[in-house]
Amino acid sequence: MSAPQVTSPNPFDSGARDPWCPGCGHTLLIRALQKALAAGFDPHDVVLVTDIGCIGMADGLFRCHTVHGLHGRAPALAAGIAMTLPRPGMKVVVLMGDGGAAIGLQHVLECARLNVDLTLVVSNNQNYGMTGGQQSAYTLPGVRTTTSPGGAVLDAFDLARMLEPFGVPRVRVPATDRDALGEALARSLDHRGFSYLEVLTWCPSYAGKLNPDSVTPRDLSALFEARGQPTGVWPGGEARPVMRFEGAPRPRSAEPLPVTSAHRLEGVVHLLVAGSAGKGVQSAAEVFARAAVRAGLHVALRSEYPVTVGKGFSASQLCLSARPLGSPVAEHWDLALVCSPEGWAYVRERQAGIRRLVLDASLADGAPGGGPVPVDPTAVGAVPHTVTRLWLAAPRELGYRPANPEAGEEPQRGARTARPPALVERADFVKGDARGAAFAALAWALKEQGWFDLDALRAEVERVSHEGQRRSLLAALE
Amino acid sequence: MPDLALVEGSWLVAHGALHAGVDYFVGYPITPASGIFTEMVRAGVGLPTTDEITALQYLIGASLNGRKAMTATSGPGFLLMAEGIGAALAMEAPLVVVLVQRLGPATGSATVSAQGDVGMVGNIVSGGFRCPVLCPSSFEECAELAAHAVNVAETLRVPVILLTEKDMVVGKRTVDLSTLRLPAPVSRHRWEGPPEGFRTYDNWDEYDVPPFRALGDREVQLRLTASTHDALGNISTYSERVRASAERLFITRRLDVLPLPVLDADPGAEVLVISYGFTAYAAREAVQELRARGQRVSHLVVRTLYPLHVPEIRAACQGVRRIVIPEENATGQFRTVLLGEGVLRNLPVERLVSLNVMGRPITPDEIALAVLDAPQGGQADGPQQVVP
Repeated sequence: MSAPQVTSPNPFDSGARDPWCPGCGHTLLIRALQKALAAGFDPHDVVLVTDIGCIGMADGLFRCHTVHGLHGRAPALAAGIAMTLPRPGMKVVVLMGDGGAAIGLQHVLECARLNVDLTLVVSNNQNYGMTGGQQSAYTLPGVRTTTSPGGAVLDAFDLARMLEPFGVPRVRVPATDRDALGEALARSLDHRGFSYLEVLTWCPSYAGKLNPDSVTPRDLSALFEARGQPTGVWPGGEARPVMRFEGAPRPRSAEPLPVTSAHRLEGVVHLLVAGSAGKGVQSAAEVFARAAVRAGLHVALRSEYPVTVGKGFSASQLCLSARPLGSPVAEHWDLALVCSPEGWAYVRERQAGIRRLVLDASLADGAPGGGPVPVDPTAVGAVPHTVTRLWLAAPRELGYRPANPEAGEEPQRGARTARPPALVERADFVKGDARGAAFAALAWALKEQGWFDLDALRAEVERVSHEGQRRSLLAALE
Repeated sequence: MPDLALVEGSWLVAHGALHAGVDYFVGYPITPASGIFTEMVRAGVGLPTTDEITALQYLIGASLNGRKAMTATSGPGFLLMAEGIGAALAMEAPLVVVLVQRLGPATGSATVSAQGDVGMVGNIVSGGFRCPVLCPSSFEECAELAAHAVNVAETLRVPVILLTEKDMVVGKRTVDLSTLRLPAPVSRHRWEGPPEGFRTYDNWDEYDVPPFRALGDREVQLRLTASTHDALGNISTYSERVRASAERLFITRRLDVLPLPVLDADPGAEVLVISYGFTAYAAREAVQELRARGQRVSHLVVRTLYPLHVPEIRAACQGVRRIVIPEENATGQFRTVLLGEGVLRNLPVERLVSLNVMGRPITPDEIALAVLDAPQGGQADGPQQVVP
């Protein structure tokens, strides 16, 4: 009788020859996995995600959907797949080695935390086999590798124990125990949610060769047991929801701001309003900016605050323009409104770029709380305004003409020779309520400058839905 | 009818992405890109994760399932994503990474805008492969190019980088939403041939892109890998057999799906300003002011930084004697890219003026003075490099 032709009846077997060294433990694992998958799944329902390293070469042996990624990232890649699988009834299996489980440890923990629906199989062969048998974080104490020739000294990671708090099912089983491995694989694949399976394998070319006394196929369980990592089956805790991410786009539309009133601005004006964190500076600027848009102005609004948003300064830069805006960033301001010592701390750094500075009266020298505010009138406005600097700093062919003060001409902004008038004034913004100060300051400026109607600002305040904020803003308007 | 709104660049990026069909956004907080993350969470498609490395892996996984995937970050996070971007390129998993530039190096200044990552984004994939890099030059283009980026990713099955700046996405501005020119959503080319004819990396279409089938397909087997592979997806050492599949990943031949540079030509102008990103605002203002004063100057805004539309850029340089390139970085990174791609080869350009500023925006005045070849006054502290 002639020998029967070797065929593979397993639908998950691609028929490719396994790439591993003779006697490698990975081979046993892979054949057991193919058998377990065939017992419960159609190949089109399975996605096998492989890591890097010897075990990562397994994908070519499988006939199912396979994805081969980067070192240590297989659990994260698989999680991205598992939480967006296109249909129910599919299974994601991850194969990685002990090296991958070290570099990708966080991904494993995150899969457990989220309870991603996947089966993670770690083939723990005590070393990096593909790169020359180096020690891994899972190499047990005493095991010799090419980078621990005298035997590993440090304790090894125990992933099964690390995963315990997440209540996920865990198994540690030697690849040689065919029945226990088959049973563990079947149970893991049947589990909905994250499950962990650690298969003890040996590397015949490195760890096996370097530790002939301890790392042999038959002795693996005893070795692990002696190092405090016994084999075993630990069922999961209470069932937890499985992580899915469908993604249901519901785009947020921007609030329309139709133009309902007119403005009286001709050019561009750059404003700066600064105060203390938590005192309504940002919301004041936002309401003011919206009113300006409804008045037909083009507006740019920038918020500035320290990384700890609840303390220190809070500032808003506003650019109002009659024409469509160019660059929305200003380093120079026509008017700066300062409501508190914290606000001054912010503005002070920028005072050289400010043409006109208006400080709240509380910032007067010796004011309670604020202390003397060292305003140096000569520092304010020391650097000319940028928007029209081109008129003057540029060569004559651009139309440069120095101002003639005797003819009553304003010194043109931007002239390096003719400094603009720097004004420092005091006003009363706080009026007992520091929360409304920034809005009071902006309203003060609007009343004085008349860029648009105060009524338009009042109408915008009326639209504020938060009652407390609305009342505070209305009070600041009066 | 104008549709005015006061919106942030972050909102516009999200708006464009959602228009193009992004339904899976994975985010990790980082200044100044967090606003985009927040918008996508509010829009019901944002998933928070533990770090940027994980974010990219999730995106690849979802992309292979057929989802339109995106994330946003700034320099430090982008570097963590780099390995995943390379993997996505190799696997041909389309996705979009928004890189909001802040001042480097390393953590640098989180809240200071910059254009210092222009060189980096062209060189993050090992082996010299490149992802398309789109760069919005206005608030409106934040939305338009975000949508284009998704479409390019889908069409070419590549990761696409949307490169922008802190000053572009943080802060609100009046935008007339009725003027947005959002491209129609495009989805990746699906394999419609017989199942037995499907091979994961074969049957390239007119863009040399293999038609797509999602994981879990019931008709075909997917074999995806980030390692060198043959047309079937079998891992294979580089050889003649896999050469074509690897070379295909160089994207320089697929220019027609990428946003073209925009030329504002002034007939007879001997000076050309080449700008990109946020600096284009200052450049537009400078050009407007100069023309109002009788100067002749042209302006080219480049919107695809990699790969370059070399013929179009060369055409814009015809007849030009001086080129001014303003950039918010210390060394003129984009100028280096232009020169490296041979854009000016054999053209009679006499001077290439690189106007570089770090840590603050370039002003229109500085650009205007560079155009006029006038000395920088006032506070123009940035080094002005003159490249003969």
